[in-house]
Amino acid sequence: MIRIQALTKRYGRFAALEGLDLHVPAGETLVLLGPNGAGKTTAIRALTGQLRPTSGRVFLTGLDVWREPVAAKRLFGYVPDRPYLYGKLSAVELLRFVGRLYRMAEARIEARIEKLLAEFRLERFASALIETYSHGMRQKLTFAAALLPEPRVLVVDEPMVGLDPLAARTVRELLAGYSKPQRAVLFSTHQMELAEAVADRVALLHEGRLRLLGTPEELRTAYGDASLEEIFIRLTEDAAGVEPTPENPAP
Amino acid sequence: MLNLRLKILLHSLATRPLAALVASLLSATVAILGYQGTLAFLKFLSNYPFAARAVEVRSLEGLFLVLSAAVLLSALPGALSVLYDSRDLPLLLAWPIPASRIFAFKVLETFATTALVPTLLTLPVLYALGAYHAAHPAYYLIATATTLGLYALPVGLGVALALPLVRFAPAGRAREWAGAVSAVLGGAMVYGLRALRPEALIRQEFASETALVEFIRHFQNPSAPFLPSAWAARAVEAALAGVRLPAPLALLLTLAVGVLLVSSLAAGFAYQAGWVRGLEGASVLRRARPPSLWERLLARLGPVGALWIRDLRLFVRDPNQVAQLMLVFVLILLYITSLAAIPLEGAVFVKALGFMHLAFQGLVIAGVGVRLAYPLYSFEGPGYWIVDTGPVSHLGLLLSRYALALLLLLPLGIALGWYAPSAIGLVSELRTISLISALASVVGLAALGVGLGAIWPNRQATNASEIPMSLGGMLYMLLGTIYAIALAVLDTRPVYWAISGHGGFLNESEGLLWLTAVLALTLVITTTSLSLAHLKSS
Repeated sequence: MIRIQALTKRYGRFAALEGLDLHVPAGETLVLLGPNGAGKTTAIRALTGQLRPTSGRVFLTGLDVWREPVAAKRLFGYVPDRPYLYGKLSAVELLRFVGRLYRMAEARIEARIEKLLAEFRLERFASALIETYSHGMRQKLTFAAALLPEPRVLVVDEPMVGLDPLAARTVRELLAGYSKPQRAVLFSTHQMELAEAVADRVALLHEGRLRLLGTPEELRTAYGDASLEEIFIRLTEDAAGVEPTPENPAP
Repeated sequence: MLNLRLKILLHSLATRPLAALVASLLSATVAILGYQGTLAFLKFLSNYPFAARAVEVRSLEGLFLVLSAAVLLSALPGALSVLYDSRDLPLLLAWPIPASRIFAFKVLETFATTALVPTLLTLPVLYALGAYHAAHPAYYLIATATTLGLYALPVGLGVALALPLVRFAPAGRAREWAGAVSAVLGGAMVYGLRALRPEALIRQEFASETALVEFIRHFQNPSAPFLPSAWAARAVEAALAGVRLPAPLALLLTLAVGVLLVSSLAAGFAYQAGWVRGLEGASVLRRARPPSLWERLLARLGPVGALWIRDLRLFVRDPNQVAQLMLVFVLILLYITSLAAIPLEGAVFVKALGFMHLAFQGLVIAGVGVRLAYPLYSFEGPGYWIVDTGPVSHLGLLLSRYALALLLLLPLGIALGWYAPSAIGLVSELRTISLISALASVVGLAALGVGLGAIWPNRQATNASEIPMSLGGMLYMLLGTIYAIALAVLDTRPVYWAISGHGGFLNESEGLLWLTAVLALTLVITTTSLSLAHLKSS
């Protein structure tokens, strides 16, 4: 469903992403892990048509995001790491705007808005201007906007920032279940527990390269029953040249 | 703090060396043009020694007044965002630096964001004045101090007015109120231009030498002596005459420093005492309302309709934009009433004034376009990702911005192209020429504004007035002015035709040639601007 082929993004001599290959089939939730500056957001921006790659291609259900952008963009919903929205619109106005961009029928837009606002507990603030929303409310509204057209692919960059516990549980359930049976979810996070809880597979990026790919169980088995967090620290420290210690041995 | 800001500036210049170079060259060009233009104007005035000094003082006063009004217009919203709403304030206040220093620095920052450009526009004019009159070296210091003092006053006033706004405006409404207040103040100051009564120059009939001397004496007295712009003009004139510390300058500087000092102390107190309720909002319980009729009608146009619905909502809810619109309305009213007030005897004078209007209208549309058409891409703001990741083609987005720019500039084009010539009393044929020329300006300048705005967007600007302060904004003004002048040059032919007593210009082959040239010029600027923008975005 999502296919990333030899994706490279360079800024002069600095490579933010180097030859990334990934495939996320229908029914799968793939989590991108990696320290700050690993290339997760760069990969997501190239995938969502915001950042033109230096080389490589990105396909969504066979459509090249950079060659057929409008058709490809109709297939995914996107939640960025920072929920910048139009402060002078209300939630319902923003959602109608998004629905119309996706050419949804007016009746369907209204039905979906009602359902999503209730799901994210925003219905009481539906006509209040977004500029009066808290960070968490904006994040929830961004999720509602991404889910409005019922996209086949959901792409999320750091989903849990600013969410209250109730909203966090809603989002966790959403990320775990949305891909089943015929959709795909790709999201990046720093929260290892979240990755372990919802990921079908995990991809670890470091310094722009793919270092590790597999299901959480496969990775735990390969690294002596270590948690994802331990594996993450070992791999990123090894790559940074940290000497292994008895407390922190090399795999 | 100043060091930190300078480093940030240097780093941003170093990351975009070409843009920095072009911006520097453009700024230098504008400064040289201002300097040389002033010298040329003064040389021209020297041909009329009986009126030269009076016109010089009045022109200086007019320049000071117009630029002070521009500073005042953006000072209040600027003070709100810099003093109370800037993102670095919480961090700065957490550092071991006295709060008074931080807020004094913030006042300086407000000055830089709102008054720096007017200051840089004024100084070449004043230096040219000094060079022309072979002024003493101290003059240049006095002229610089006068300029800084003059523009510090509206900045201080903006800072002072921001305080009651953040305290007493309804929760979350301080910015809206700031927009309205600054529009009213700016409009009032611009209306002060009428106090200069420029038409008085041509209204007089000088039957005798005594009448002429009496008129000159009356004309050079400041018509609005309580306006700081009049004090500044007096200070510059006194410095030219060799006075080392002119009294108006002392008054101006004392007042400016006093206002800045008191208002920065008050701002620090207000922020730390939590008086900024007018900037904070609270989510109100409001359930979903059904879409209105106009929204349902526009929604039928698909994504383009959705973009327009969003744009119209964001536009009318943005106090800065509404304030701009109100100010443009005041300016156009002022322009047309001023034209109508000029006493014209004889058809030749009417046609000559008509040509001046024809030459001027393109420049007016270019000036308005820099605030209404150029920022349309930047208005997407940080929320641009919504459109960028949505199923909207870049071409569709570009054309929807262009259509909106046309919608915003078209009423202005009609007012200038049709209503103003009617107010002057131009003959029907020249009215048609004026309308065609104004519409061509609208079509070309809307494309130029949207195109350059798409190539150099500034989506991080907190205030609409910041958006054109960029390489793209300067290029727009330069190319827009060239385009307006080119149209004016083309318009000389039909005006000459009319002044020579001929009629039916548009029915002749020469008229057809003129129309083709206007269309070709407009088509070139429109398609080039939009094509370049499309290439850049796709």
